[in-house]
Amino acid sequence: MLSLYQAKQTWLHQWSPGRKLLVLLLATILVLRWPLLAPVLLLAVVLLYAQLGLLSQWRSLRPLLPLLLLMTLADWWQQGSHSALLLLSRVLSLLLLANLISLTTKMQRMIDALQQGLRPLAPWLPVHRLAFAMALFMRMVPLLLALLARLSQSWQSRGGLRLGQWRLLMPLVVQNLLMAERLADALAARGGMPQQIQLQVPTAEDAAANAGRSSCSQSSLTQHSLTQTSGSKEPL
Amino acid sequence: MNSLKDQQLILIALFAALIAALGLIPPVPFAFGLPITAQSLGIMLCGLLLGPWRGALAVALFLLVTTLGAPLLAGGRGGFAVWVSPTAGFLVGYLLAPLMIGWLFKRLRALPILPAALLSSVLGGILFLHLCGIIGFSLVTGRTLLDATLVMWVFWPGDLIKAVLAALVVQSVYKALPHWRWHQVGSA
Repeated sequence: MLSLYQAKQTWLHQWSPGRKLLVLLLATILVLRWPLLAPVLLLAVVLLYAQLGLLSQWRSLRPLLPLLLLMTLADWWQQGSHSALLLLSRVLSLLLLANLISLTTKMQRMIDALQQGLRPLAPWLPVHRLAFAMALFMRMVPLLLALLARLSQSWQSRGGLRLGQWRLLMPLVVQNLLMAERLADALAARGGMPQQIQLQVPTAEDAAANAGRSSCSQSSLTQHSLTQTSGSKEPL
Repeated sequence: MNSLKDQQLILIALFAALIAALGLIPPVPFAFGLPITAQSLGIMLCGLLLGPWRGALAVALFLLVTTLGAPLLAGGRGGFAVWVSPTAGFLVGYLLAPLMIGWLFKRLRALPILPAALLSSVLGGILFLHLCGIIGFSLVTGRTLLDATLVMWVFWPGDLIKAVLAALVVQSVYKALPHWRWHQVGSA
């Protein structure tokens, strides 16, 4: 699966996820309490990006640009330039700061931290079921995309128009439901949910291998859920 | 009983994956460069096909993994940044909308499936979702609700198309899988 993580060795990479989150929380409170601090924070965050050599990562903001522009213009028009610029620097600084966490923390580390944090809740929250659901979810996203690509190919090879592609939604959802049924049967046949799961985030190489195979057959599905579950099953 | 619970969990994980996959489809460029993505279509389908609680759990799973750093939100966004963005209210709306949609869809059982699904999607997946989005927008930006409403109108046409699609999909899924254990997933 894709990840925002940037593999580098900086001092921020060494920080624990909890510490980074705490800083984000503090910065959010500061900026909401004293709005005039926002431009200062924005400057600091941009300098931090530059210091870490991550300035090119501003592009993760690109999908939000139209909305940010619209927001600033609307505010400029109604409240004047001062207010609009304060607003923009507040939103931008917090966005960039929060994004920095994802850029410098491996998802695997994030998941580990989450599981560690949830451990005290174990009597009330079935952590292993959550881990299983997360693993299955991350595994299924590339498979569903491959299924969609296959549906699209067969649609086009039968002369289907590009505009008619919305029709592929129906087989996609039907296949999704059928896959759930098959997976549930496969899991039940293997004795149900494993008690412990080592959650592994698939790496880029895994994703490439999947794309090459581009197969959604049941065998590859169950095979994978097998490798994911059986190895970690606790002996009773 | 336990295998029944496992089945529900699998269904939840697979629909969370469906939301993510729909968000990754290349978006249709629309007015002002604001893309229409199919992501909120996934939210509607969760509420309609899984029922209120399981639908909300599927969205919660999706949002959890997104927050941990998977860029699965429409436009390739992810990480904690999504919760301080002006669109954060929509994420809260994503979480609550399946509750609303699923509940409405159950209430509207007297109607044929297509209008019932359409009505629930429009009320829960557009009106209610936008209400959450607007409240969130005004909280993050500190603007009044009215200003926020003015900015959000751009999302409306695309969402209406998605509500119609969601209703069509639900209708054909009910036709395609008449033997599906609907009673077990709590919908219909």
